[in-house]
Amino acid sequence: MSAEKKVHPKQADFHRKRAIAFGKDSDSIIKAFFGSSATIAIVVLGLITLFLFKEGAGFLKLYHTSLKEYRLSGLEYVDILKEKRDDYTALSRYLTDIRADWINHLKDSGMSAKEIAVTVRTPEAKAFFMGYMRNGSEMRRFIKEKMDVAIEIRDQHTTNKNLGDTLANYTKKIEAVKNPNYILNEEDRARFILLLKESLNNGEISIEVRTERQFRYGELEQETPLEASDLLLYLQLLEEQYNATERKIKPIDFDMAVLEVTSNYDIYAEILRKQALSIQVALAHAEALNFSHPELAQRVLRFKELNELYFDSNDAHLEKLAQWDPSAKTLFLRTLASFLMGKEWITASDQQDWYGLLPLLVGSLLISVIALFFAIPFGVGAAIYVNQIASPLERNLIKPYIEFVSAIPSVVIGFFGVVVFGEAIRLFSQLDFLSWMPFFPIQERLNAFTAGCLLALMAIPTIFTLAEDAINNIPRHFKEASYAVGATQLQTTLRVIVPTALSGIISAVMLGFGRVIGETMVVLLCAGNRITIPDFSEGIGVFFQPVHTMTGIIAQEMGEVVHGSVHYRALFMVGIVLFFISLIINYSAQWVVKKYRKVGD
Amino acid sequence: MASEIPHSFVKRSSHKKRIEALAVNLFRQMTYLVILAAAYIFVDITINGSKAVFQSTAPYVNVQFLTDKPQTLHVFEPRETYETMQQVRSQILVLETKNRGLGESDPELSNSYAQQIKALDAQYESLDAQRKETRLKYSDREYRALEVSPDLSNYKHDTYAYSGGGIGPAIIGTCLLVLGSIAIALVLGLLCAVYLSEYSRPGKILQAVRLSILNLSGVPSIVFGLFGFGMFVLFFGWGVSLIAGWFTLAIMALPVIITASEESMRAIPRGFREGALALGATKWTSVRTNVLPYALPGILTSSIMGIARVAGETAPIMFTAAYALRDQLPWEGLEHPSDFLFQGVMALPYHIYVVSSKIPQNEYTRDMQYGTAFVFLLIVGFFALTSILLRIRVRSKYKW
Amino acid sequence: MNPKNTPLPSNPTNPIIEVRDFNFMYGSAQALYDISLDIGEKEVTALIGPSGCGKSTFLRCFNRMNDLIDNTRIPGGTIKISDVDIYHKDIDVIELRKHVGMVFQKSNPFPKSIYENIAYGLRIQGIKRKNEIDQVVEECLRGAALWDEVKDRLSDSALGMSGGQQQRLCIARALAVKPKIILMDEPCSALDPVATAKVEELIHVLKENYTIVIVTHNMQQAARLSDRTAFFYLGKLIEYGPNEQVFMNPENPKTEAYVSGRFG
Repeated sequence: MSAEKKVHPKQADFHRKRAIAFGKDSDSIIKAFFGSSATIAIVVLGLITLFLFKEGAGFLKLYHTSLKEYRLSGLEYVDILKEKRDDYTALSRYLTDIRADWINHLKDSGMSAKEIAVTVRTPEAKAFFMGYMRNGSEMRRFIKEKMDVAIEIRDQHTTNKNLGDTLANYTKKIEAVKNPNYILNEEDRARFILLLKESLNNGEISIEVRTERQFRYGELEQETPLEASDLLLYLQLLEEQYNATERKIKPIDFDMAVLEVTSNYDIYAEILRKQALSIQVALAHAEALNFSHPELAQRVLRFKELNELYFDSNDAHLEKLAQWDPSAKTLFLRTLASFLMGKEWITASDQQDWYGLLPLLVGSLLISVIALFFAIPFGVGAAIYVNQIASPLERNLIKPYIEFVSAIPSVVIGFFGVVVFGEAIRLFSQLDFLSWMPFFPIQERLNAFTAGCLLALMAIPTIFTLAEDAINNIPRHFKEASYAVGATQLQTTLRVIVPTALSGIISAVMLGFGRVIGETMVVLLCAGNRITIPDFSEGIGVFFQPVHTMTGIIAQEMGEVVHGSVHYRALFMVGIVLFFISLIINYSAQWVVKKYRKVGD
Repeated sequence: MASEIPHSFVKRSSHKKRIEALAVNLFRQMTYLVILAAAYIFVDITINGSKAVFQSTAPYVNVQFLTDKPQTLHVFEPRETYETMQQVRSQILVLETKNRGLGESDPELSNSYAQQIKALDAQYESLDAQRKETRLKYSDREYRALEVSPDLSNYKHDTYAYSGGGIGPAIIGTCLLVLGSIAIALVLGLLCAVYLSEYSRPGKILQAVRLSILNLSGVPSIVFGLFGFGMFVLFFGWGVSLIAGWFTLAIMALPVIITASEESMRAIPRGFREGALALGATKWTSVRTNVLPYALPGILTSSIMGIARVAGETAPIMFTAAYALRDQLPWEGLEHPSDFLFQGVMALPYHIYVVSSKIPQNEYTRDMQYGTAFVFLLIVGFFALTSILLRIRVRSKYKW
Repeated sequence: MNPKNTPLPSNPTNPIIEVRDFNFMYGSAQALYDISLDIGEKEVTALIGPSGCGKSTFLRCFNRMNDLIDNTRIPGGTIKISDVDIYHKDIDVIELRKHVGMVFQKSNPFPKSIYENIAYGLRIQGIKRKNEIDQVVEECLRGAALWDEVKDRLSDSALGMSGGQQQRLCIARALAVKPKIILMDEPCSALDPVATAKVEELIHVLKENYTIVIVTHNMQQAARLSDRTAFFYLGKLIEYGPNEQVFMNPENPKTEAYVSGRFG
C-alpha cells in the first residue's frame, strides 16, 4: 500500500464510505460493541431482581398453604387457648416478683434469714402464694393435650403430602418398568438390590419366594449381571413397595379431626370457672397478710385488679373460641400481612413456623437510628471542619485517613466489637456513678447499641466524603460575599455554607443510612441476634437490648436451610425487601440532589 | 472614654468571639475523636495480632501461622499446677467474702485478710507463669504425629476448634478470589466506561444505564450474596465455588470501577480527541491511542480501591465461595483442571467471622482470632493505601 | 437567494469550497442562517465577527467536527469541497478529515514526543516504515519552520515546548497527512506577539501550497494575512469580499462599525 497514493487523491476520495460488515463501517460496529457492554449495569440490576423474585416467588404460596393448615388442623385454636395460659403465667410471674421483693424488704429491715423464712411461710402466706400458683395445672394439662392433638393432625397431613410425592415417583417408575423394552441401568440395579434386601424382612411373603429372593440377592451381591427375569421381579418389588407406602397414608379429614381439638369446650369452660373460684379463695388470704411496706401493699392491690381483669376476659375468651371456625377462608392478603407485619420470626418449631418481618425490620431500624445518631453529627461536623476550618496540612492528612478508614473491612470491625468494644460497653455500664441510669448495668454485651456505635464508624467515612464534596462544590463567591459583609467564620459556615450544601449533606446522610441498613457482618457479630421486637416500654433502655436484623438473619440462616423450603424462600423475601429499601434510599438521595440543582439554577 | 481612643479595628474579645472559638474547637474535637476511634481499632488489632504473626527469633515472622492449614488446637495443661491454682483461687474467694462480711467492724482483721489475699495473689501469679511454661500446645497434625501422647493423669487435655495451625489456605483463597474478580470487573467495567464517556449520546438508555449504576452501588452486599447464590450456585449449578465467588464479587465491584474509569476518561482534555480526529483518525483509533493510554493510570489507581472493597467483603462470599474449613489447598486433589474453578475456598474475611463467632474467646483462641484479623487488615490496608497514595501522585503528575 | 452552482459576486473564480444556503442548528437554537460563499483555492480566507456570531461553528462544518457535538443538525443547504457534497450520507468522514486539516484555538499537542506527534497521522494510517516517517516528520517540521528549533530534541515531550512552538507543532502535525485545506480556529489567540508573528509568517508561506480558512478576532491579523474576509454577525454572513473591500470600503454599515472597532 502506498501512502503517497492514499493521501494525494486524484479526486477527492472521501465520497464513499467503507463498509465492513452488514453495511456498517467499523466505527458503528465498535460503538455497538461498547454499547452492548454498557447495558451490563441494567442487565445485572434486572438479573438481581429476577433471581430474588425467582427464589422468593413461591414464598407466599407455600406460606399461605402453611397458614391454611395451621387453621385447618386446629393449631390456631390451640394458640387462642394459649393466650389465656400466657396471661395466667404472666400473673404468676408478677406474684413471684412481689414475693421476692417482699423478702428483700424484710432483709433490708434487718431481719435474719430465719425470721424471714418464718414470716413468708405462715399458713396465710402459703395459702396466698402457693394457693395461687397451683391454679394453672389443670388448664395447662388441658391445653397441652389439645396441642398434641393438633400437632399430630398437622404432622400426619405433612407426612401424607410427602408420601403422596413418593407414590407419584413410584407410579412413574412402575410405568417405565412395565414397558417390556425397558433396560435396567446402574441406578436401577442399586435400587433393585436394596429393595430385594428390604423385602427379605417382609413377613408377608411366603417361604419359597423368600428363599428365591435370598438366592438372587446373594448372586447380585457377587456382581452377577442382571437378567431379563429380573425385570419382572423388580416390577413386583416396586409394586410391593408402592402398596406398603400407600398403606402408610392415613387420610386426614380435617373437618372431623379438628373436632377432637375443639371438643370439650364445656370442660374447658368449667376449668376456667373453677380456676376463677379457687384464685379468688387464694386472693382472699392476702387480707390476712401484713406486708409492712406501702409499696408492696399497693402492688398486691394492683395484682388483685389484674386478676379481676383476667376473670372478666374469660367470657370474651370463651366467645372467641366458640366463634372460631376451622373452615373460614385464609385470605391471601392475610398471608402477605403476616409476613410484612408479623411480630414473630419462629423457625424450625414443632408447632407453627412464623415468618414475620417486623422484629427484623425494627432491629435494623433501631440499629440505624443509633448509628446515624452518632454518624450524622460526627460525619458532617468533620466535613465542615476539614473543609472550612482545618489547615491545608490537616486537610491533606485527614481526608486520605478517613478514606482509608472506609476501607476497613466490616468483618474486622465486627470482630473488634466482639472482643473489645462489647465488653468495654458492659464495663462502662457497670460504673458506679452511672448507676442512676435505669437500664444500667446492661445485661448483654452484644446489643443494638454496640452494633450501632460500630456501624456509626462505618457510616462516618461515607457521610464525611459525600458531605465534604457537597461543601467543596459551593462556589467560592458565596463564602467571599459573606466574609465581605463582616460575618465571622462560624456565621459564614452555619448561615451560608451549610444551608447551601444542605441538599448534598442530606443526600450524604441518606447514602450513609443505606450503608448502615445494608451492612451485614457487624450486625451479625455484634447485635446479639435475639429475634424479638425490642421492648419499647423501657425508654432509652430499648437501645441496649439484643436485636436481630434483616441482613443478619439472611447471613445466619441461609447456610442451614433446605433449598426450596418456605424458610429458604422467606429469606429471599427478606432480601427483596432489603433490595427495595436500598433502591428507595438511593433514588431519594438522587432526587434530593436533583431538586437542589433546579433551585440552584 | 479612655485617654487613648482605640481605632475601630482593634482586636476585641467578645462573647461572640468566645462562642466562635468554642464552636471551632467542638468541630475539631469531633473530627479528632473519629480519627482516634479508628486509630484505636488499628492499634489494638496491630498489637495483639503481631503477637501471632511475628516472633522474637529469626526469621521474625511466624511462618507456620502464615502458611499452615487451620486445625484443632490441643492444649495440655499440667494437672497439678492447674488444680493448685483452682485451690488458691477458691481460697482467695473465701477470704474476699469474709473480708466483705466483716465490713468496717474490725480494721485489724480486715488488714490481715488483705495481706493474705495479696500473698495468695502472688502465688497465683507465679503458678500461672509456671503453667504457661509447662503446658504443651499441639496443632492437630502435630498431635497425631506424636508417638507418645502426654500422660493424661498428669495433664489436662482441652481442644479448641480452628485455633491451631495457620491461615495459609485462607490467605491463598482470598488472593485468588480478589485477583479473579478484579480481572472480570476490570474488563466489564472498562468496556462500559468507554461507552459511557466516549460513545454515548444523551437519551433514555443512557439515563437508564446511569441510574442502574448508581443504584447498583447502593445495593447491600448480602443481596449480592443472595443473587450470586441464586444465579451462579444454584441456577448455573456451579455450586459453592471459586468461580461463583468471582462473578459475585466482580458484579459488586462494577459500579466503583465504572465510575472511576469514566471519571478518568472524562478528565482527558477534549483537544486530544479532536486533534486525532482532525487528522483523520477514526473514533476508535482516537480512543485507543489518545484516551485510554492516558486514562489508564487513573483507572487502575481507582480500581485498587475497588479491590480493597471487594477483598473486605464477607457477606457475598458466605454462600457462594467460602468454606469454613478446607484442609486442601486449591491446587491439591484436583481430578480435572477445571475442578480448580469449581471448588470452594477458604477466605480470610469468612475465617474471621468463623473464629470470632463459633469458638470461645480465651488465651488459646486469641492468637488465631487477632492474627487473622491483623493479616487481613494488613492486606486490605495495603491495597487501600496504595490506591490513595498513587492517586495523589497521579493527580499531580497528569495535569493537562 | 443565489441560484446554486453559479459563481457568487465578489467571490473567487477558482473555488475549492462552495457553500450554498447553509443552515446549522444546535438543538433548537439556530447558529447559522442561509450562508452562501465560495472559498478560493490556495487563498487565505479570514472569518471575522464578534463572539458567538457562528464563525467557529461554520469553520468546524468544513471537516464535520460538529458531528461530535450532540444534538446538532443541518436543516438545509450544502457544502461542496472539490465538487463533492460533504454532508451526503455516503461520505467517509475520516477521509474528509484527512483532506481538510485543522488547527485549534488552544494548541493541543498529544502528550507524546515531538516526533510522535507528527508521526501520529501516519501511524494511524498504518504506515510503519521508519525512513518514510522520518522523512515526513522532517518535511513537516521544516514546513512549519520548526525544524531548526527542535531537530535536536525530537524525542522530548511536546508538552515541554513553548506555546508558540506547540501551535506550530500542531500545524506541522496537520501537514503530515497532506491535506488540501487547513482550517485554523483562532490559532494565535493564546500566543504572545512574538509567537503570533512567527505563526503568521508560517501561514504566509503555507498559502503557496494550501487553502487556508482562518477564524480570527484580530482584525489587523485578518487584514495582514488574508486574501478575502467574511464578516459574520448573529449567525448571518453580512459581508464577504476581497480584503480591500471589507476593510476599506464596506458595503454594510454593520461591517463598517465592526472593522472600525465600534462594537465587538
